[in-house]
Amino acid sequence: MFSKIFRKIKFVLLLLLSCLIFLNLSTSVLALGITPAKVELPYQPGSIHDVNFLIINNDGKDMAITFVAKGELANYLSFPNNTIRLRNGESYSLPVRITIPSGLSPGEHFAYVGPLQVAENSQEGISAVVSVLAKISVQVPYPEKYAEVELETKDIAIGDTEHFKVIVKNKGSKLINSITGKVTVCDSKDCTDIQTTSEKDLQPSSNIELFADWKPQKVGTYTAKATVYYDEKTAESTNKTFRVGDIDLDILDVKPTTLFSNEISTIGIVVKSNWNSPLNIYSEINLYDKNKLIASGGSKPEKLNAWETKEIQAYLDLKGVQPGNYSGIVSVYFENKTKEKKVIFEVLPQRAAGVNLTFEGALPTLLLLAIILIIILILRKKQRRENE
Amino acid sequence: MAKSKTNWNTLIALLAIVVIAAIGLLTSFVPKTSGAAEGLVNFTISGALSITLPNSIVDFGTGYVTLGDTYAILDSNSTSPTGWTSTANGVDGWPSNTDYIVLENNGNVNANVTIKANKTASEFVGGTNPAQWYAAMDNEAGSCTGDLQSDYADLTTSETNLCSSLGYADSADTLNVMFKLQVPSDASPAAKSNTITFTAYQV
Repeated sequence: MFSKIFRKIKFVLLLLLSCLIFLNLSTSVLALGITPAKVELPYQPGSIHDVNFLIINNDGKDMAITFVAKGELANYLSFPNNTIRLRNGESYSLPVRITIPSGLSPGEHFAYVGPLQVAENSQEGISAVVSVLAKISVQVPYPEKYAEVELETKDIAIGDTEHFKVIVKNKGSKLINSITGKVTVCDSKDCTDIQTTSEKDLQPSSNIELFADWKPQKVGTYTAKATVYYDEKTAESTNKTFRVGDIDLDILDVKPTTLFSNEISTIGIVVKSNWNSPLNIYSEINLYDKNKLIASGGSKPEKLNAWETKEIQAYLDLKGVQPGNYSGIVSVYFENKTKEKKVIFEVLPQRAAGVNLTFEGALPTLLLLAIILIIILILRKKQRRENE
Repeated sequence: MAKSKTNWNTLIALLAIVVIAAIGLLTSFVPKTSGAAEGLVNFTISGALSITLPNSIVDFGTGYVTLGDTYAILDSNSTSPTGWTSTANGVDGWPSNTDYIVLENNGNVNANVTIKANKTASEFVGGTNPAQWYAAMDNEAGSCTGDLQSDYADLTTSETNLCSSLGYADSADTLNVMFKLQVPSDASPAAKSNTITFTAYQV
């Protein structure tokens, strides 16, 4: 009696354990990384700086890595030049020493350093490895008044205000007395200038921020550029692109449109979000024969991330539907709105019965069953031995 | 008595494993925090440059240049090779399916990504006038916000641009990289391989 209860509890625990193992595996992040990604050093000729970079292997497998340096200042770096083996989940602290050379011209000078994955098994066809290189930047001040400008933008929703941030960096060796500027925003047709705030007294090697607000009137993609005026000089940022969105999505594609009679068909609906926040969506497919509804189906609710393009799976039951061409309406529902697309579906005669077991879908289940089976067999064997 | 004891031991061991696994799972979902119950929360997020390859192989399978043709064109972005008789599909099903190397920026800074091969077309493919090209496209819309090499360009053993600014937002940080080969009819029969290096730089 007790033995039976124990066996049942054991089975439930083993099942639970197996599920947990799979979930743990499926949440791992896979990558080769380096941090910090950028280090800025002052320009002091002859000075020596020691920097430690953390190399992270989260690629799901052990890998051999070596270290490389590139860029104008690469020859002034020293670091270990051996190959190491980094196990999955391990990190390695890479010590790098840089000796700042003399005679550098005003402006930014840099070197890159980081790990290079070593190709271990030559795979037939084209295979790939990665290298991630952090930037070591040395800024040599300009002798005159000199500023550089960066513009920060964000994707926003229609009705919201775009808050432009203009970062002004004094990269000269003299004080900048007064600073003001504008942001020029353009769509495909027109441009608009927006005045920024003003600032005073920007010290060498310091930054200051200017702001400008703008409320767009229509959705779309815009470009923006900041122009800054300082002590009778001008500096411009690079162009930045940002999007103004609406709670809307597009149905880009529906596939396949050729289906088989008496099957539950899986239909992919490719949707693209035009909104800068996640949307909860679901779909419905209705098939009509001369305005008479003959089949319907749909998908489970899903999350569509901001601006994401994604294929959602819908199911359509074609039991009893005769071969022929039918008009269909694919509807996607989101935030009390609906988007529809008309599609002509071709229904072919019923296919011969068969089992379609895809390896990709069956693998986790088979592994799960195999683990459970092995553990049960071990326990049963152990119990038999004890009984004997 | 002994049997009952063994059962209890097994049960306790299993329970312990389940609890440990559950804790492991929960801690992988819950953000790690530390500190006192009250006070100032102050932290710095360090820039991390990180690249992963969810699919790191393009496999053109096995085949030969169709008799009478001087060369074949194998395009991983196309399911219709020119002048190529396929005898076995690649691991991802090419030529029945398209096949890409998938590159994802899962760091928290934009990355300038370059590409280079470790073999020239002559070393990789062989024969008279072989060629190899590469191109890339967004796997997720808006991934490459800089200069994207969207048309096929020569794949060489020197670094060339793939995407000058690959974003890191989860919904827009992934590229598909495709390859095209020109295989001459006099290329020697053998299993051929080429290794691509993707280098990511902090922008």
